Amino acid sequence: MRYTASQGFPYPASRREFANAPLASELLARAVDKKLTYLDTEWAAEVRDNTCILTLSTNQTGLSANTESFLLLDTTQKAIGSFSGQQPRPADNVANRGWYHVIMSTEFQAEGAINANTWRKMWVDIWDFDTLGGSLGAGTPDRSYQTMDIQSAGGAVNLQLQFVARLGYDETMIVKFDHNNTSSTLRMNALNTQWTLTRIAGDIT
Amino acid sequence: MVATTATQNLRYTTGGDIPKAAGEALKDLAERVDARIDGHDRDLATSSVPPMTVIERLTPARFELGFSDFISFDTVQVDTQSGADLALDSRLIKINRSGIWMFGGLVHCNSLINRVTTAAELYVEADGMSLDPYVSTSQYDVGTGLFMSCSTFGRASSTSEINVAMNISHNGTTTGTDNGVLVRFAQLWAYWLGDLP
Repeated sequence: MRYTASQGFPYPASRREFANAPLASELLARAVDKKLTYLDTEWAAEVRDNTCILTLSTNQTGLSANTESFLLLDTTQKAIGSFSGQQPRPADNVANRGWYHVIMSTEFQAEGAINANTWRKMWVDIWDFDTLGGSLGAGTPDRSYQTMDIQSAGGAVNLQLQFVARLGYDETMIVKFDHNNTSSTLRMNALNTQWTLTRIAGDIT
Repeated sequence: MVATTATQNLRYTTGGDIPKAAGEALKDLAERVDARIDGHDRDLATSSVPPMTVIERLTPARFELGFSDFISFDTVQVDTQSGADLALDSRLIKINRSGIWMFGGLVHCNSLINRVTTAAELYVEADGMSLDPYVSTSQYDVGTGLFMSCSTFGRASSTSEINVAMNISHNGTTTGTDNGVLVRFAQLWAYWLGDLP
């Protein structure tokens, strides 16, 4: 038998081997079958893993001033991971670890008269899930990414935040809001919050 | 008589072919399938480890505002396409593959030094792509810090030198002589989305 240069597929090379074509064709068919099965599995994993999570939350109203309020999730449009309580994270499946482009947006609305220089903030903390324990936000996150803006007049400020991060199977993300307006006549709401995680690559360094 | 499959043009023998024809058909079949699967292997390799570069500034540093001073970086987080050489030029990511690329950046800064209430702008550009795409975002500065991020995508042809970089500017006036900003954390990224259509 001889073998092709790259994949090593066998083919007959002598008169005796030509005479036994059924054996040669069986060897070739088995070799191709094995390789195609491997490709089927790998491509299926690529398609499955290279999907994104789109998560929507309920509108959160009456956010307290100078207080970290957690994003509450209620709808998952398309997930490749698991969701535990208030935070999504890549699934425990090893294949879903990797690099992600995280994009978030929210409409931070003020109801009522607002003071000038009221800031509104949204940020993402990435925690080691094992150290998070049962108390959300206790301790120091591994990493944190933030966006903020102000608006002197009332109405909504649109906040968006994006970053690229490597996420492991034991990490989780928590989104929080805050503002500094303590007026009792003012109500601050985070509306139409959207959160997408698009997988760029596997767990490469 | 040797025949071929309808779609992939793979050869196979039919009844009446001599053994030598069968052997030659098998050799041809093996080589054609070899070449096709080589292509799949290359595509899979690119898909699982796509070209991407992410660099960060982890040590705070001061930068001049405006286009005279692009943000420099001190850490390469990932680089599968040899786009970062911080010793050569720590301010940019070089794009080394043609195609459609996503690029963007994020900064966490102290408020502008000697600022009057004004808007600060984060500006990320890809110099050398088709139409030299850029994207920016802005935030008002009220002494509590600047936190901005943005991204967009562009076309990279194979003949251009393309560099992705970012800086910060503002639209107000500055009191005093220091027209700078302290960057506490910054991230610049570029990743390949696919081949040019």
